[in-house]
Amino acid sequence: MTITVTDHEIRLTGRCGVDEAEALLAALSESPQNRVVLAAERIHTALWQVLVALRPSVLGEAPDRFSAEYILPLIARKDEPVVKT
Amino acid sequence: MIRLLIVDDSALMRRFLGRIFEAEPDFEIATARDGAEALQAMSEFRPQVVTLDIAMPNMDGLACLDRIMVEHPCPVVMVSALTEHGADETLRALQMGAVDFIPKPQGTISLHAEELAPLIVERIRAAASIKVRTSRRLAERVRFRAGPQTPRSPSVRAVTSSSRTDARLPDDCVVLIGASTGGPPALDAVLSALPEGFAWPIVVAQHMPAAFTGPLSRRLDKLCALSVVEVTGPTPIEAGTVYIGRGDADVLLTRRNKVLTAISAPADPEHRWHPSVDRLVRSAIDNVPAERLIGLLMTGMGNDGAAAIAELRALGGHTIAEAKQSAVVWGMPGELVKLGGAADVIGLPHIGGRLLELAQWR
Amino acid sequence: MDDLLAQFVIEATELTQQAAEDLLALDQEPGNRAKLDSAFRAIHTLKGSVGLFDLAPMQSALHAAEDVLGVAIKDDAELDPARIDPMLAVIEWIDRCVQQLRGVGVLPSTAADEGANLVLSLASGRAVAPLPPTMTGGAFPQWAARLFEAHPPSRGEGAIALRYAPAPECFFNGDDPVALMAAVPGVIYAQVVTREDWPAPTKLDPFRSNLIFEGISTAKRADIEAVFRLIPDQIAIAQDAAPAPREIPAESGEPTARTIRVDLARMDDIVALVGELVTAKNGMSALAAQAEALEGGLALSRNVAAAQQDLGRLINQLQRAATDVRMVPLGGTLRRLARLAREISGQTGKPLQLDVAGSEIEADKTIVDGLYEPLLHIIRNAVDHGIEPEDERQVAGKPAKGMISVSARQVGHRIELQVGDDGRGIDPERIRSVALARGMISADAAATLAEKDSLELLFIPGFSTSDAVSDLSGRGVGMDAVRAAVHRLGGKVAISSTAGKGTTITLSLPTSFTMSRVMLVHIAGEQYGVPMQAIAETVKIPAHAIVRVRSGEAFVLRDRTIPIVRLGDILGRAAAARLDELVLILELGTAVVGLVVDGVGERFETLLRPPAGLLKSVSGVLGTTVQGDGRIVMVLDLEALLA
Repeated sequence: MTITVTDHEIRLTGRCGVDEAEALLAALSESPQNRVVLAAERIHTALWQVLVALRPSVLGEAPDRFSAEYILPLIARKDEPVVKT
Repeated sequence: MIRLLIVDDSALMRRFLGRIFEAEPDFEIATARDGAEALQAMSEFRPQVVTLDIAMPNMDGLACLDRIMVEHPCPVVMVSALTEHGADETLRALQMGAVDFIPKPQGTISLHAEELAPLIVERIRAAASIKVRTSRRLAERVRFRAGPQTPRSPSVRAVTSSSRTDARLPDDCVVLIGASTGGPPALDAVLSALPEGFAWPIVVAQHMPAAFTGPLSRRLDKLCALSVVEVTGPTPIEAGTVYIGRGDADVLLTRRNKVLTAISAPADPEHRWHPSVDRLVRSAIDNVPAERLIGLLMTGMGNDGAAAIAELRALGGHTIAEAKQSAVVWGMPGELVKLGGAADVIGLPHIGGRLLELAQWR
Repeated sequence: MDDLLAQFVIEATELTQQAAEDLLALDQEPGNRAKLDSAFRAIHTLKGSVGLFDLAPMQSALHAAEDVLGVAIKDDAELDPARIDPMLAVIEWIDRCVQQLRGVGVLPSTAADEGANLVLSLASGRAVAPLPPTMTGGAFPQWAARLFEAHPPSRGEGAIALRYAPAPECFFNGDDPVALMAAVPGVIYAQVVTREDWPAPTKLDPFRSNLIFEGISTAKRADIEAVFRLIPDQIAIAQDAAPAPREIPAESGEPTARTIRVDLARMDDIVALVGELVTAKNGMSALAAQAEALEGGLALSRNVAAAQQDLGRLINQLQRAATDVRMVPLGGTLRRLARLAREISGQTGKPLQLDVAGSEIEADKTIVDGLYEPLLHIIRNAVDHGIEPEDERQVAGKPAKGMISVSARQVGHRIELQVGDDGRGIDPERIRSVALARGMISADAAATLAEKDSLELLFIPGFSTSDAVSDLSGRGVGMDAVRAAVHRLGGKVAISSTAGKGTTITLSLPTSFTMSRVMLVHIAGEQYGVPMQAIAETVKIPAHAIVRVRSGEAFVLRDRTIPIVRLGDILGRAAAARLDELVLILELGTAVVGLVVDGVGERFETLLRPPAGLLKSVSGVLGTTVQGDGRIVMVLDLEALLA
């Protein structure tokens, strides 16, 4: 299991493949206030999308420079809406 | 030796298929350019299996298939374009007695000619060993020509949709159906035996390419009293409806805000066939108590679904395997029986009735 | 070139020509349903064939073209004339692609853009000038301008703007857009936007891609393109207005076709040499026998036999290769017929339509070339005798245009050509009366002749039923000439006809001159070859067992009376009487005949060549073969000799 759900947090580890997206969504829907801890080697776009759409509070590091620089901010900026085309 | 007749109007396609089977030492090949030539070859070459193109000049593939099924019953595998139109015609062909179909190469990654070759050989080899049951085929063809037996009136339908929310059971119950080779006509037989008010939602994993499940759903929707839809995105499931998982992907059950929901998920490479029956059944077990599930495994090559449905039985769910005499290929249901996972082993004509009994009783 | 691709090039060339012809015809006559169907089929088949290879740009252009025609067919509507030019542009482009494939085996790098452009022009209904070979096209795209505005690159950087809009279904194809973006080199700026608003969490489909990526990179264009190699349809790339010095693409020049023209005579020499090689190989059997006769020569004999076997295998391959070189499609000959039909139509004033199918079928060049003449006679006959004048057709409720269809198909190692017309058919009664009047048959025979057999009379030399000697076919060129010509090519002719409905003539020919097993027979000091396939067995019988029966001779073999023919008599070389006769039992079709010869010689495999030169006019000769010692042996056409 690359998604571990505890009382307070949802932890992503290892290689999070596309099929984990539904599990992440379920876990976040169940307890929206839980923090998500990023500790994975790889995070599939499908999971990033769940995070961007639900914008939980996120801790930890993105696995690559691109997601760190350009995706994490989309999740973190809670007050600002995501740019739309 | 397996005598294979390749029927295609394209010289290139004949060469392509011919070349694949020339590499197999146990195949003897003959080719035909159109339906008329195919019929001649049927009596002269006496093939054990036929690949049949649909769009051909003179006599098209469906007309030719019709004649073959009557005059020289023999396993026929359609060679289908993965398009809406190709799917419709292929489904008609399956109804008319073709046992299986193989996709036409399309030059894309997943349908690249070289990569299709082993799949094609496997499918044709399996098809060659199928015994075509003429009588049943004939009956199906008559029914198919006569159209749906219980046409659904629009007004009745409107009532159902307005009462949808009430129809949802407090405790979700679900029928899970898995099928592969020979599945579409079998699904038709089972689903059209169920009345409009059938109290359990039904989720189907029928191994198929993505382009085919949409046309399959629309076709079954016309033929059955239940409404039939394809699952392409998150879909809350309700009684009176059949959910067909989109092809080349997996169909799973999950809970959204406690509501049981079917979703289409990218195919898991751990499983060989998609939509994976094993994956569907396991996702159901995770979300619904086993005693409220019915697992039905019907005709198909391989063993997909057998393990998960056996597990379902062990957990207290009810399970059914299609009996050998009616299955086009008794691979998946046979495997389920072997694992001791089938509570009932019944022939296709009686499966619908059994589901009705179970749904009322439970 | 891969043989599948080679075959594709041939088939595609035919199909593009077919499609172009049909489209041009539709331009003249937009309501022509048959042309519409034909164009659709050609394009549909082309699309199917393209699918066998990695030729996505061609596939999508053909798909779009097929859609346009498919809609017209489905709605039973005329093809919008505005669509014809873009369609023709697609077909011309496809043809260029095919020629490029023939030359260099791959599509040009610009194919994807050209194809996409053609698809656009099909949708808009007007031909668009081909784009320059860059991904940007003419105008600088707005999104790129916006990006550079938001993040102006430093001067001279020659930065590249990219916009990656993953298809909503892309996760199902195994794509991971964020991972792809992370792999793009030299990204100095990026932004991620959503395609659609996010739905409520309960409605969210996590497997539907909803992000769009835009960015600026300073890396080389080719390196960026490499990342998106598999999804060129989802990526757009634009170069900054002040580009870095461009790499000059290597001048590829015109693709040179990988074919050469060879004088046919040289080709024939090679084929003939292969034939002789076979004979030489057969000579090794004698060598092996000699070796075996030597003291302790058994091992040597075995080795010789093994060497002979290896050699045989190689020769077979060589022979197949040599035969293949001579294979050409029927298309050339059939196209000449189309021109001819137009000509005849003009001369006779009978409107005519010629439909041709099976142009792609291949056969030996000699056979394809040799077919022209018999087909010409058949078509002339059809117009002259079969197709009625226009007014007569109207009365009969037939379309004004006479219809002649020529269709070829491959049946095993043979080709079958059918020439059918929808004319008045052949009246067997009239044939019988003409034959009777000319003394070709007796009154008795005429009265009892079956309908099918009456048609056979047409093949008797000099038979002609036209009352008015026509300019076209009445000059003594009858079906006998057709039969003779087809026979020379190793083929057969059959005719069938339905009064009032039309006549169909079927030619069956070999696709190539293949290896035949031949047995040598001796007669009056000469040697001839007899095809082994006709020989059921060889028996020696006492001369007195042969009895006279009516006008001929026969003997009884295992309770079966078998008529006897003496080869010496046929060839005009009467043999001396003797005590025992050697008889070859021949099975010719359903008939069984005994052929008396002086003796039999070796059996061998040989490449049978059609009779040439003087022998061409001698009936009864199937072909010639060169013996190991250089002698030419005539192989007898038993069917013709004993007919």
